[in-house]
Amino acid sequence: MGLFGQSKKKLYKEGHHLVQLAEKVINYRSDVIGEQAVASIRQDQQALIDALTAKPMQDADVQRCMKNLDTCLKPHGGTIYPVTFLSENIEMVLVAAILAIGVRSFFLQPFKIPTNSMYPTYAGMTGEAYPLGEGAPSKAGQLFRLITKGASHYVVDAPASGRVEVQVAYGRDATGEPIAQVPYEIVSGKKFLVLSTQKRRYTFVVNGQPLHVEVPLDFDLTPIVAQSFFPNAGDINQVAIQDIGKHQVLRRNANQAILLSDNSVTQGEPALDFDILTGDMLFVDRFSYNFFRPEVGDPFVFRTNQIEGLRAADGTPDDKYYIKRLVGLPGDTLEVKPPVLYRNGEPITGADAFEKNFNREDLYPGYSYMGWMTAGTTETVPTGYFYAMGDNSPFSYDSRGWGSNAMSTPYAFEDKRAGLPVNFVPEKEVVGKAVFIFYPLTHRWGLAE
Amino acid sequence: MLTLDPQLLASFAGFSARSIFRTINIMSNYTLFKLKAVIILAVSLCSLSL
Repeated sequence: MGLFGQSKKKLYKEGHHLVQLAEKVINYRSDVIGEQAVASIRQDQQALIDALTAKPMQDADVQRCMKNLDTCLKPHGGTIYPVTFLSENIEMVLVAAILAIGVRSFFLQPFKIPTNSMYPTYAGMTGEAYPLGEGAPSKAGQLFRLITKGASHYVVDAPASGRVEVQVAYGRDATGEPIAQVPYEIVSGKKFLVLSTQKRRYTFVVNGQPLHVEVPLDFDLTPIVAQSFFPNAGDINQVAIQDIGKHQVLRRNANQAILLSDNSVTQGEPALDFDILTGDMLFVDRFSYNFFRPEVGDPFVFRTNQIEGLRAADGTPDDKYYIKRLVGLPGDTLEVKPPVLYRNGEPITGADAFEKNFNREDLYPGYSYMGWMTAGTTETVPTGYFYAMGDNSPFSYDSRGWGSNAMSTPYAFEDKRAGLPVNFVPEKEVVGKAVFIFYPLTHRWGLAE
Repeated sequence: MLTLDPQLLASFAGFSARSIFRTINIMSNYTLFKLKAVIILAVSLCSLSL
């Protein structure tokens, strides 16, 4: 039966398709081809339908009727019949697009992790600097790194020869320690050549000439700057705070300093040579939360435009997607006693990352204080909201911090005091649960934890 | 509060159902090769994070 059955099935399918095409030609072109042509197409179409539905189906009859209908359709088909390569492929792309839109809207949506707030569970964008003069991998090596790790290669040539002037700004981190950062401005740029997006622009000076470096908005170039311009010095805090006496300083005050790089660059040669490795890309399940309530420990994605604490100083909502771990349900009381997070008086359970954070194992840093969550304070989650925290607690801007710093809306403090949900995730803003890391091909590939 | 007109909702549901059936109908005529191509393309589009 196998092969014979297959060919019969195929013939039936082809015949059926031709019947549909005839219908399409009639529907689209009946006013142009005239009644007589429509009638003759109808006649041949009906003959084919009869041949297809005859029991048992006679292959020879079907083939003959298909040939007749084909001959009849050809002069009247216009751009619909015979099917051209172009129209067939356009249709295929459209069908694929419809499927993709359907799947993305209701079932699985891809999401790219921008920052390292959930590290080491999920990695955000990371940079790898190539020491100047040693050169980057070959084109084939770069292609391999692009495919496996999503590494984009950046080379910025020096506009002049000499040492690079690097500006650093001083501030304090979440725990109050002084830190140094290379300042940047936000400029508009392009993504995939057409989509407009925002980028970070870092500016350095070489011999009076500006040297601009544009990177994705969420990428911090500071470690690359430290590795490239101060190769033996460790990180930028060491360069600009602890060991500042070892470097040449042009200007310095409490808020900022301008340092000269340890090495010189040559005009036309690379001044910065580095790769940006893409953040983990994962699928978010948009379906399950329509039927099941989110649980503590779920890595979940939510929109931020209804979170007051994330509004800019002028009140503009922050319209982004964030991924954090759900640590508090409505009614829960949370408290941090570094490195442990307590939920309703007990160490929190529900995900492996909690335990690893308590023990500070596998690069998990342990839970720390930030913003509203300080020593001895507790936070109670109001009805209709969730509490979100990142696994990389000291470097995660989450429910502990939203609205508590100078960058947020000035009303956040008053509203928080008045008991308004400034720093919680509204239930309606939850998009779904992270389920699968599909790219890049690292050890994290697989089910999302 | 936003209220939805039941008639509008019904016609939208009808439209959605028709679109789904039409897409399935088109795909039912595909050869295995073409079906594979469509699925690969759809998965690629699904994975594209814009």
